[in-house]
Amino acid sequence: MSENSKPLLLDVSGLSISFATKQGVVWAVQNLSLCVQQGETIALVGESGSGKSVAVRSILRLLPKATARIDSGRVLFEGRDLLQADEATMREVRGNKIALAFQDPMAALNPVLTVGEQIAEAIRAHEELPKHEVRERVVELLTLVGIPGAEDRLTWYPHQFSGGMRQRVMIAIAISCNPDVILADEVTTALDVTIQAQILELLKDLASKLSTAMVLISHDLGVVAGMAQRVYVLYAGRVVETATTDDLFDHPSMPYTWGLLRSVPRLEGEALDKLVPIEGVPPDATKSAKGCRFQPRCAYRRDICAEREPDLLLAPDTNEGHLTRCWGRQEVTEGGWLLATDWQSDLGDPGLVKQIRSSAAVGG
Amino acid sequence: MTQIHEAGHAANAPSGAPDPGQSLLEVSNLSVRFASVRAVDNVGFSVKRGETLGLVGESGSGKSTAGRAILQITPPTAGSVRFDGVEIAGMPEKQMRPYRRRMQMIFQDPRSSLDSKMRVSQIIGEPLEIHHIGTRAERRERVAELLQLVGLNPTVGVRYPHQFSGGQAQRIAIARALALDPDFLVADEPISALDVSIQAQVVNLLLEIKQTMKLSMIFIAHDLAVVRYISDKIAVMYLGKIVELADKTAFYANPLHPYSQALLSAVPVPDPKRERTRSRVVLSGDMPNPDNPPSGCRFHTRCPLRTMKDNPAICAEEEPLLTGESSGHAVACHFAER
Repeated sequence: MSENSKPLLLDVSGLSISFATKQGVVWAVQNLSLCVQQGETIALVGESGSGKSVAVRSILRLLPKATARIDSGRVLFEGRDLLQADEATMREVRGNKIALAFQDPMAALNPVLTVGEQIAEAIRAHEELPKHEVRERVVELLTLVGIPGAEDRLTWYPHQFSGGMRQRVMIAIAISCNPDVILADEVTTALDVTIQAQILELLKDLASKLSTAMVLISHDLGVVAGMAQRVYVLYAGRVVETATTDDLFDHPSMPYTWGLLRSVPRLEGEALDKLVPIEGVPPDATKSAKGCRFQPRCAYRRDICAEREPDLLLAPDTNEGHLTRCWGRQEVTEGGWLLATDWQSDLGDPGLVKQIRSSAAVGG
Repeated sequence: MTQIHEAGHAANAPSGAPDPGQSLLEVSNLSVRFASVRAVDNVGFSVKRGETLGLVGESGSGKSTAGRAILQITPPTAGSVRFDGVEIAGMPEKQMRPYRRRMQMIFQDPRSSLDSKMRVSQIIGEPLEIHHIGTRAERRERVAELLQLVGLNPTVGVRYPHQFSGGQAQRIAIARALALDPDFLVADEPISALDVSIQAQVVNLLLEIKQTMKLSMIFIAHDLAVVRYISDKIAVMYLGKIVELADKTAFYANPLHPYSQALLSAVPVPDPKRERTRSRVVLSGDMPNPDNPPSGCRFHTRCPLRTMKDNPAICAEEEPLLTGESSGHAVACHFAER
């Protein structure tokens, strides 16, 4: 997937992660590969349970040791496999080189420390600076993330800030050590729309100003469209499609992506009169199934889909680096029946839609 | 629906003449105060039979409080709520009961609104039991019918809520809300907690039910994208006030209030090329504290139109009234241009 000459920063390949739970083994991530170039923003799109957060946390080895198991794969960063690195190396990487920002800043921030102390702590963890310089840097960071009156607000506690402002504080912590990569896990999901717009502008601005690479995790295709250069669509722990952002939205290549695009409410353009949902229920990660994981909900499926899982392969009719996991879109003996499908007009087999609905009606 | 209902209705709730163009709900000057906070401040609108009003605002706008005050779950501090021609604001609970049957609510988080220790069939049948409707067998039949109505197989009635996904749990909550065959439904962000692919399922289900049951509805949402698919009318709230109220078509074709424009512009568009080229109105700052709202127009501290107009004094001094309702497009702004 080398589209241009920028050096590769983060190279994840063949990553599989499972969890031991009371309900049995959960196959959270299966054979996931992705890479991030310097200064690039990539997005992982998927619904809850798609494995996107687990994958990203595994990069920093932040998964619960008692239950999570990395079954295979490697995470290359600066030539080292982080999955094999010792704890000292990981401490050096976390925050300093790769930073993580979460959805819920209230849970991530310490309620009994002022935000000034918390940002200072993050700086001091990786850099030895005299006290006044740390303070200067904290003020600089708070100003950079758009907190007005930064000098005065150093002494504020997290609860004194609004949700949007807390998210800004967390972003300030994330960028405090000039990381090469920011992992942003649903950072705007809990926010109001106008505040979400502010935070997205801020992230875009920071990414270009500091040339930080970003891995953006979101369930919102709209957010992704405006932020990322490349998108990975995840379903049931697998990448089912990946392409450059323009290519993905112009030529989405498999039924799950089609379904996502059709179910997004739109404000403008030739919006369909009615939303077209993806029928059926989200996949159950405790049940292993053969075949394509999306096939129980796919209105375009054929027999082969339930029998064997398709590989993630080049989509034949699109640009380089556009990969798709779908029998219908692959030129193989039993496949290829969706190569000429117009996803906007052809919604699949109505009989299958009915069938999927009635099997969902008996519960998950 | 089943006969037991028809009978129940006639006996319990006085019902106005079924004139389709008539307003089922008329809200005027509705206010709700919590201590010094004016959560809902002098709000008014009407909902006709079979009509859906999309009530949109961000957190702190008072949209949920307004919904609850209409159903008399949160008592209004002032104002009038006329349901089917009868004033229900401040009505004693006993008298309110027949109206409660006709007005139902569904919530954002279906899992926390369903009793985890009850079977699905009990959850859905409970309102029937409370109101002593039908025999046990009739109620069972009705529950099966309701499950089918919301796209679930009647056989799932024996299970418990935790055995369902979020979208299915929301279907169960909807079935429960429909058990008493209501005329009016307040849906408070019913899809916000659901996965994207499931949201569309629930929106379509509500659309279907609204049509088959001729329901009137208030659909509360925090953004303007989804309400476009389900509403006939849109009301936008900011800090307890309605700032714009219009028919759907007029609203989306020409949003008048600068806050509505900002809300529309904040919705991310799933089209990278549009995202790159469209000019976005990004509001500065946060929603002010509702405890101490700005003087004059409550939006003036963040208003891009006011900035463009060189900060006229009137915005900070005088509260704009919601005008133009007769034209089908009302707005509360000193400078909005039609």
